Amino acid sequence: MKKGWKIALISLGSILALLLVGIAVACWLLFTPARLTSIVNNLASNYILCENHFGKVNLSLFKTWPDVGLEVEDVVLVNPYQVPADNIMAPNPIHDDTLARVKSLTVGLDLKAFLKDGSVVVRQVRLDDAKANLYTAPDGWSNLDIFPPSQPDTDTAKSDTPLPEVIQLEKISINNLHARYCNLPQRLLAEVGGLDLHIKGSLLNSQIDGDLKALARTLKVDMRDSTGHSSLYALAQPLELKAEARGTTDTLQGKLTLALPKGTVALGGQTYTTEAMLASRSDLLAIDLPFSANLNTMHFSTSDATLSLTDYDLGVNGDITLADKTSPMSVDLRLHADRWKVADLLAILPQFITKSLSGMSVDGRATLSGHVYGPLTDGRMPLVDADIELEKGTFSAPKLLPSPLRSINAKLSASLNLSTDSAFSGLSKVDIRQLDARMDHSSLSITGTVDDLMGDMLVDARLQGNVHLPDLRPFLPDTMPLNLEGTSRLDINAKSRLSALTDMNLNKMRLSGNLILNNMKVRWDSIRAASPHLVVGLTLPTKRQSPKVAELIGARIKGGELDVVMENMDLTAQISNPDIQIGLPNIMDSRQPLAAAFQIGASKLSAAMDSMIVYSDTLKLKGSVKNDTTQDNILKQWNPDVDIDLHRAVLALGSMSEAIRMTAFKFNYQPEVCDIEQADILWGVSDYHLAGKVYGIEDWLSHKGMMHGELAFHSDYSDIDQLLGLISGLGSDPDTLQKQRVEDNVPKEANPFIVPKDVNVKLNTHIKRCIALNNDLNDLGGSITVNNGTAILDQIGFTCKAARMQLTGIYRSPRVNNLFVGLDFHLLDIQIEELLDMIPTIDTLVPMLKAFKGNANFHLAAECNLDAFYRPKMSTLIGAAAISGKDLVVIDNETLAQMARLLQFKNWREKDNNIGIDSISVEAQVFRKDIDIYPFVLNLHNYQLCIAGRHNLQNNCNYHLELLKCPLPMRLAIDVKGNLSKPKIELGEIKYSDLYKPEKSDALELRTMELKRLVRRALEANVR
Amino acid sequence: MMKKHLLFSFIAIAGLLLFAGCDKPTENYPPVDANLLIGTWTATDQPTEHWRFDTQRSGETWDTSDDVQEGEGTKFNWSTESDQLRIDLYGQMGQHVYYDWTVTHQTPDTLTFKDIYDLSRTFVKI
Repeated sequence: MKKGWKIALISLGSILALLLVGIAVACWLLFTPARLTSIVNNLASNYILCENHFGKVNLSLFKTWPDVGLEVEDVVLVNPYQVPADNIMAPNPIHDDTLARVKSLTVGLDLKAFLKDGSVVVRQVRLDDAKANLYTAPDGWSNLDIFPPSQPDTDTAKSDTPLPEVIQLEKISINNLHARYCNLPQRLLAEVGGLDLHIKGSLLNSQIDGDLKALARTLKVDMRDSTGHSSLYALAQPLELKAEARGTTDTLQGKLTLALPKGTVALGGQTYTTEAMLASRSDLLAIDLPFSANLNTMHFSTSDATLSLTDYDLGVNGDITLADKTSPMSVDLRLHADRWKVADLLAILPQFITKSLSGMSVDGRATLSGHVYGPLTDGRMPLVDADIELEKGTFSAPKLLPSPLRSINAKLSASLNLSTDSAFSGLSKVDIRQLDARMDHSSLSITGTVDDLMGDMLVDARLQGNVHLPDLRPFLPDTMPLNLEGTSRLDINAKSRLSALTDMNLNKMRLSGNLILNNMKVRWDSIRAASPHLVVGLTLPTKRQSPKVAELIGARIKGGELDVVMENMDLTAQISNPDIQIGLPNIMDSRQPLAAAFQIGASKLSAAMDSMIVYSDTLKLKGSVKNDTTQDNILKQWNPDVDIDLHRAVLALGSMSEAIRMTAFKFNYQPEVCDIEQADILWGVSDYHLAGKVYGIEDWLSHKGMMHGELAFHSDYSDIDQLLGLISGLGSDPDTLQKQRVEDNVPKEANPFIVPKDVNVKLNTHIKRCIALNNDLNDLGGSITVNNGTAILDQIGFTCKAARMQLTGIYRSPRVNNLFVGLDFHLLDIQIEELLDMIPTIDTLVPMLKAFKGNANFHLAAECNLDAFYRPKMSTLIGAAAISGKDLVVIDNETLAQMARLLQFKNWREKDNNIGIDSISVEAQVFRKDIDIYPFVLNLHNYQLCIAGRHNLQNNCNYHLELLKCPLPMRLAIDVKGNLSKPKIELGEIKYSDLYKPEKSDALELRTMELKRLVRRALEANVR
Repeated sequence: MMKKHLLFSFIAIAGLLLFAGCDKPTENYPPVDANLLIGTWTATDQPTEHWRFDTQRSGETWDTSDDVQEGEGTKFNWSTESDQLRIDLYGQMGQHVYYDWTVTHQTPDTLTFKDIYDLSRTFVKI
């Protein structure tokens, strides 16, 4: 640089500096603080109505460069007011008559404008260390109303100008402002402490270009509703705000940045900030908000905004329109959150939001995209639609799930209505588009919806999965001792409230679906079931209803093979192609007894219990059971009401040499009565057809009462001995019987029929043909009654080869070695030789009977005790017999010939050489070993013979035969004594001279005749 | 042979003439003392055979050799008339067996009777 230029520039600078100093000195001389202070105070008294005080006023050039600064110190505005003691914000606001107190107020004025045309243009404002106390009274009066009212015309004119020309602010600085604002009509109290606010910008010709930086060390907002309860409470400590805006007074674009490290926010009394949020190292709330705004419509839009709650960033795009006189504030925002860690987020959320998850533990990575839209007012919140994706999630809820869910991958869509005002509140719901999870060894997939999300959730879901059956055990109540093995594929639709699930209230659940069970093994107490493949259909509530069970749970089981074991009953069963329908009541209701209605069908059943085996081609079983644990026998414990229909069934007992085949077996069993509709049974060569009712089986099993009933019993052929062997000993205590056997020294080979005890069953029989005690009997009809240890054959009528027969018999078994048998036996129109062949004992009773041939009537009443081998105890034998016949033929033999010779019989044979007898009427009595034949008369052609006597079972006899009438006028008698096989026959004394001539009979003979009549009358009384 | 028949006829007619209309003389014994019967008796020829006469004119008989105990035996009613002891044994099937015994000797401890076949038996009270 040339030296001349250098000198010139230095000279110019010096001149300018001198000029500036001169101007400054001139200004200082013209605008001294005292003069300025006086000016300001005079002006203030014109424009400020309240008491005011402006301290020292200085002129500054450098603080506000390039503007001229007017600095006012110690500004005080005082506007007294009275706060009603019962105001709704009590105890706030704190009464303070000082409206404002500012340590320093600096206003920057446009020096060029002032120098050019003398106008005063404010370009900067700066406040230092200010305190303000703003108050609006209930009647709308405000302590800020300190300026005189404007003239209406002037106001109108000014209203056309956006901002007065005297104010062209480019910079506003506030340092350390403490302000309090109380608006009682709006029930608002706001306080800011230590606020630093710096605004740079310009508002010129409706063009706005500004930046804002604010830092409030404390900020508190308290709003109340009409009842005085808090509707909004916010406390920021501190709050940092940055904003920049460009545009016009109509439209603005800019960016807002807010940082709230610590704070408290409560809406409607609910605190949204938590200790966990405040403990975070990140800011409680951070907002990075690019925006555009239409200030006329107060419509704000944002794009790519970020709202961060501690560590959780939420992307925001959308619009907000502030409230005006006609419509409330509304929002339309799109939100997006990426891979939030759910557990950590739930941990910091307030309890009232997470209360529905109480007792649950949720985790995973959540990605959220949402749409928030709608008005926002007190009590009315915008609606929220959200899509949520959860990855690698876990869910634990011990009250709901015994084991945690893991590997949860979910895609959910939620619609939330968070409004608390009932006029706008609605249900929130979640659409479960996909939810896959694993639990223990099982995998599940759920789709569906969850309504009323913020209240008592309503779950409507479809559950599919592969279930390891042991995983289900923990879901069942402890009172249900059920163990499971195997796998299941399930497809179930379920609908329930969360409360119902939590309480396991089955009445409020809906469920339907299928389980396909493979290699299933189930154990319930002593009952086991197994099947390689079963399909189980479930319905809750079931549409089926039975009269005995309030059915709630319906299940249908179909499959190939089902094995069942009931250990208590030593029962095993195999069921082919089972089709089992079961209806259960509310099994979770402990007040209800365990019950079930069922309908069981199967193509094949085989079962074994103890030594009993049952096989059936088809099985139909329908009924119900109801458990009563207070009872002591299985029938009373379960109270079955069941219809059983078996076809082509086989029953085999270990004690039986032959199986019982049931071609049809159909009966109903219900408490106290078993109604046998049809029982067609084949056993060995026998067939039995039973129908009727049996009562009191439960009491009989409990040894508390009699089993009684009446059955129709039909048979084409019956082996009675075999049948008796089947029911022998029923109802008797085996120990007692064994004790008797030991005490009575009964050999083990002896197995007499022990009549069932506590049983009173009557069989109305019609048996076409039967075998009993090796006798063939035909057309047997009558009743057989087994009554408490006594078997009664009541007037059984039948025909055998020889005669029409009628038998009433009694059999008892009080002791194994002391049996009782009693007979009332009538043989009508019997061939005597057949009679003797059928009942050889008759020959013992009436040995002379074998000498006769022809038809006779035979009556016998006798009883005897038997030992365990059915051998008679002769000391107990007591009987009476009567035989009558007409037109008999006496079989000739040597003994008869010998007697005839002794009695001088002549021409006593018929022409055909037979010995004819017109009639015979014999009465006999038996006691122990003695058989007494009452005197009876034989008419042999021209002879009349009276016979009487006694013989015993050793065949020793003492008979007297006396000729009452003969062709010759003489009386002869012979005695037959000794053994009947070779009797000693000799002449005897005449005894019956007047027998059968009552007018001549003596007392003994009359007595004899009376006894004879008594015996016969008693015997014939029972003939039908 | 003819002679033999004539002889027999003669003897028979003679006998008839001799004995016709003559009853066999009846032997009377003291009346039975019913009070002495009350109690349980056993037969001297069969000590296991018991007869129990009760005050209500009822009774029971049993034989322990057959493994029949008291209460399992045969029931009867009894009555007396002169020297006759009448036994009416009855069964459960409606049958009756009647015995008329003539008491030939009776003491508080012994009882002897005979039946219509003159079979005599003696019992002792236990």
